[in-house]
Amino acid sequence: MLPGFGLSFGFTLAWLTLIVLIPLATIFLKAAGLGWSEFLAVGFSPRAMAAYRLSFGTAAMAGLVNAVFGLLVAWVLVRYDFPGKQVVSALVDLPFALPTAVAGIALTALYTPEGWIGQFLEPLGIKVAFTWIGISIALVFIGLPFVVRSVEPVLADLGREVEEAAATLGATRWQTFRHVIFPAIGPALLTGFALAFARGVGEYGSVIFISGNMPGRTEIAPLLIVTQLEQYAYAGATAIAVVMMLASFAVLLLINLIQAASRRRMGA
Amino acid sequence: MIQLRGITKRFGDYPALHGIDLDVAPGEFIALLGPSGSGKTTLLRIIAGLEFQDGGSVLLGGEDVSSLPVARRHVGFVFQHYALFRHMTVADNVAFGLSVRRGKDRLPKVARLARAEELLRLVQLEGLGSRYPGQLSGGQRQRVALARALAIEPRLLLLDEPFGALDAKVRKDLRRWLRDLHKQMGLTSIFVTHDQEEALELADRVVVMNQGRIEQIGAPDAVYMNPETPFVSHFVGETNRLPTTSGEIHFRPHEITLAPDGAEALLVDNVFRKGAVWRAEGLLAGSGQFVELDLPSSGEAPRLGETIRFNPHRARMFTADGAQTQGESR
Amino acid sequence: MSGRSPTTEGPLARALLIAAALGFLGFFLLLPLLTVFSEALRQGAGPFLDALHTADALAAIRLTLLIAAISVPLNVAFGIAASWAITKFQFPGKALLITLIDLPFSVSPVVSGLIFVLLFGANGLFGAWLAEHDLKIIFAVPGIVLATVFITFPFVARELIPLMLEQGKDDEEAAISLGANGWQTFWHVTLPNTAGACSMVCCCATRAPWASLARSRSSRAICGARPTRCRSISRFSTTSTISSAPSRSPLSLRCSRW
Repeated sequence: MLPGFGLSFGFTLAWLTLIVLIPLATIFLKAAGLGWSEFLAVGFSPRAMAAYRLSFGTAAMAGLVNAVFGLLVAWVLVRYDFPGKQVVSALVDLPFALPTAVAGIALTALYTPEGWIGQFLEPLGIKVAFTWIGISIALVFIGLPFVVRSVEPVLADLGREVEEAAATLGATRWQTFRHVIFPAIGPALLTGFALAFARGVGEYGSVIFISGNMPGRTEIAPLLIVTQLEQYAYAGATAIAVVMMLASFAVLLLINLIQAASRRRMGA
Repeated sequence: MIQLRGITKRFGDYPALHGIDLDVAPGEFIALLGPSGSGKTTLLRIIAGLEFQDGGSVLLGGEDVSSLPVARRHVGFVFQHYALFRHMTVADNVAFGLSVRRGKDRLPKVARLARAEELLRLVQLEGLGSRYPGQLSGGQRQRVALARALAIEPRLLLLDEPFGALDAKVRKDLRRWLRDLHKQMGLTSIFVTHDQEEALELADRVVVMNQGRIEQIGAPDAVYMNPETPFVSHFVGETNRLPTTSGEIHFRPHEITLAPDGAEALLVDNVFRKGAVWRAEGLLAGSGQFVELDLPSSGEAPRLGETIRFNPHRARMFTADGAQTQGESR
Repeated sequence: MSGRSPTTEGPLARALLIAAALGFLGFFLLLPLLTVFSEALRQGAGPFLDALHTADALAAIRLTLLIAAISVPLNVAFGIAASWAITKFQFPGKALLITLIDLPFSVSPVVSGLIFVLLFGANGLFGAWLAEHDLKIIFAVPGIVLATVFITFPFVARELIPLMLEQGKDDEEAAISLGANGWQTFWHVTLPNTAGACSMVCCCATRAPWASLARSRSSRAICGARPTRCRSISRFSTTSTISSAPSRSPLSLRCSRW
């Protein structure tokens, strides 16, 4: 038995309480001041519900896109050699480094009907900027590194032996991927998706430019909080914040439970 | 039946195999024995199709499979670290080869699982089908890996250091078990090992490899008793070497006759019991060469500092270029 | 006589996969980046560089380094303690603890900004007490440090947990069996084993406050060509909510009065 459990666990819990739990508790405290009926009225008003639907829906959509393409990018970076690989690898971190508002402005500029991409979509009748599609694109931008950086190390660590074993048993390359590789990197992919999703739900800076902010249609939940603040409705802002936080927390907890279960099962 | 014809392989500038020729008869159990870097694992992987040779050809049952990918060679391969699929149950691992089949060869799921259960019974893991590999011991994992390889009814079974990662006791049990299984099934098998004891105990024929070449092919007894090269003499079994002007004389620790007027004299500086014999170690008077001798343990243990006079009675002489010039005693 | 290794794809599949990945990256990352540069340099490089050399920008850089110097060691210490407890021991509620550590990842920057205003703002929980003792947290270095620590809180633990999990505890147990005490084991075995990841984590954790600060500052520099949008930019993200000068940010001004 290693020493240090008391110290490390105690310190973890104390710091967690001080930095995360107490601050978050103030939100709940403030929201509790509203009273139940008013909390429901503000937190679940039609406008708020539309905002949640938009925020969670677009974040899930972007998370899925990132899960597919993030896996592809991680695969290509780990498995293949091609000129400029280092540059591509560095490019993946760009959304971490670029101020989100800058990203938002850049994406908006790209997708407005006069933009570099928007001008080609406009004649086809596809509107991106100021619609949910635009919001999803911004969230894809923000979330990509989470998926790539979660999957990459696991993919790199995956032993070649299991793939060879599958091949000797007659599996095609696709069957090997589907039945052997994918389940092995599944937990990491799920983590990446969860992080991208959680980040997407709360994202503000990069979204509000491209979203158009029409109440009930393209108004994201974080913006609703800001709007409430601007109307001095602080308790209302905290009510919406509480609903968002609980939902995010539930998603994260679910995913961590799945991971813990799969780790136990594999006896690691 | 396997025929290897002039197999060569290079890894960059490093020549791994220089023209390997080998014939394996149906039902034979072959050991590829050699130190690490001798090319034995590379050769095994080339036979499986996990690696491709630069020159030469691989024939399985008369058919040239040199360009056939591994998935179509129907060769069972047991990996050194088992390479079990950790997220699948033991039964799913064993049935994997059946479940990836397509078309008319595809068995229904019930039949696949029945087959898996049958194989688990064969490897004495009945009832463990619903466990995960992480929940098994090393020896059990090894047998799952074997059952998985056998599930595809391979025409040939290849095992890479099959007992390398196991502890001594399990290793010994599994060895005996594998030999019995081979007798029972009669499947042509090749295994790679660096452990000469393992090779001598299990194999019908031992292929001794060194630096990408075959040094000797023969029955275990022949390889041990009549090594054809200094390398084989030294690598298989224990050997004392006496340098002479024209080359080296090799003899095993037990291949001696004690004689008061013997030509060699060993000054004993260490003695211990080695199974049924006393092992005496020390330097030879005159040449100062380090030598190990086995003395009957019915007698008294040699004392430290004692001088033992003896003659090697079955020595082999190798000239400097490795050729053997003289078979029996000098 | 050369065949294809069974653990890779054919040249065509490989080319297609690389092309798809690069296409995606080009479309979603490279194009926006190019737009940023084209917008920033629309009026030539001159105004852009001028914006970067203002006293404002230099002060911002100095502030960022100061904040990183305070918050990074705090979070590294926490991350190591947390990953030690989580990976080397079994205890009930582990998944819950990991989720709580992840939580700041998922909390909207808008919400975390709101939290600190609720806590330390003029009418916040500790507002009166702070005013009494003439302490400033919001709109001052302590507030920015707090916000940064909050945001970067999960980084270190998130990086270290998988690594320590993979390394297991064999090395540590060996050290203990050789007579090392807990601290010696930690200093001479665990820390060197995780040093690579630790230094990477420090980069990440430094980047986070940098990025969030840069959000308000450099976006102002970059969108010089679009004055109407500048006003709103300065109030994004936690850090800017409670750090930017009140006169520039209507939101934080209101919050501070509340």
